[in-house]
Amino acid sequence: MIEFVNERFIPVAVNNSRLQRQADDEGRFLRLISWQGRYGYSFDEAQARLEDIDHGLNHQGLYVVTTEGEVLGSRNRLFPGGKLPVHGVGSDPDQFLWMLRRALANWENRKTQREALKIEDLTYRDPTFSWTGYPEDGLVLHLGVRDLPRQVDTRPSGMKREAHNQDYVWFRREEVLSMVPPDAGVGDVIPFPEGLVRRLVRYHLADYVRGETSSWSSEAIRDAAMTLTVTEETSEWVNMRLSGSAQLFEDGRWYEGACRERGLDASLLGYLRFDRRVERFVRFDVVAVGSRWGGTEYNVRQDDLEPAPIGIAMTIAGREARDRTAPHACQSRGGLERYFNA
Amino acid sequence: MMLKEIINSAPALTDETFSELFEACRPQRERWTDIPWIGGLWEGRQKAAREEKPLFIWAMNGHPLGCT
Repeated sequence: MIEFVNERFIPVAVNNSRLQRQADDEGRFLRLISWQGRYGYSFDEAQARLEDIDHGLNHQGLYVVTTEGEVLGSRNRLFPGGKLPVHGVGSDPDQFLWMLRRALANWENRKTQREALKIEDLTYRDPTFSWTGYPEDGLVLHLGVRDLPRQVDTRPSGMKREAHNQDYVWFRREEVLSMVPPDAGVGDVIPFPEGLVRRLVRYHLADYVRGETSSWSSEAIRDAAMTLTVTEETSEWVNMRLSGSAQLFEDGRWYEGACRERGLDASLLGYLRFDRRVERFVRFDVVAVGSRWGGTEYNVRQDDLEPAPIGIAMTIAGREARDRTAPHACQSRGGLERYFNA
Repeated sequence: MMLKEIINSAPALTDETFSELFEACRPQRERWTDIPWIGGLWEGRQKAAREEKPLFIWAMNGHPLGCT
């Protein structure tokens, strides 16, 4: 299937919760597609709704389209606000493949994109979202999060045990340099900068295992501290051991009141190497392990609210295009500024 | 903070257990990452126009290449 997708399609992965609200041509293009593919509107009906960015509806889905927005195939989750009842997103590989093949058959009979097109660069992007921010000369970590084994597993039998998720962590160059004093020597214990501790715990020590969740509010941080201890150093590099802990707790009302609090109580440990010659980290392996409880609107914990172990690991990200994906917390309106000023 | 009764305790995080926990939790290489996903809709639209191919769009709440 991978080769089939690579050869026959241009594969695009996007965050629709952002695009469906973008007041620019890119947002309009997504809405043109999703009003048809998810909600069953005709092409003309969808065209009439392009400016509607306050619809409050979810535009998530898998879509095959022409560059003019003619939908050739789609698979979407059931959404009761939709115009038509639709089937589940492509978790069944056979049904997903069937949709792709049917879309290719429709491509042969398409009404649009019959000739080569040139799509011009965007000249305007909705300024309420962030369009830059990747820290080219800073530090980017790739984060993984998953449930850890339990002594007593009370989760419903249909709940996937191997669920996991990922995210990216960004630090700017000046923030990287603030972590390592130039004269750091063996035995020195260096407090991890407070603002960076807050960024890590508010935005990255979160229960994303089963799906996106809200960031922690500033008030949710009951305790958080991290230190770096210099374990070895030469004129060329510094090795450090990171240790720390975080306790987060928040009242709320989730799952129609069935959940009224969420929390995380975690320890952190990591091993870092800073290359003094290039002023960059060449190792930044950190693990956070602890207990989480509760859930939020979207992270599908309504049947798993009691305390259970969670693990989060971060390491230096790769250099592929996908490794430039912004941290989840940066993708909402004004998110980048909030992220860097946690 | 409300104290919760812990039935499922978290494993100890020590220098000895670090490697095992790190490997268990770090992002894994998965088959879907063998697809050269384009992370921007407009960029993908331009490429689809140039190459005269259909677009396959994976649109999720949260970025599919990051946290969804």
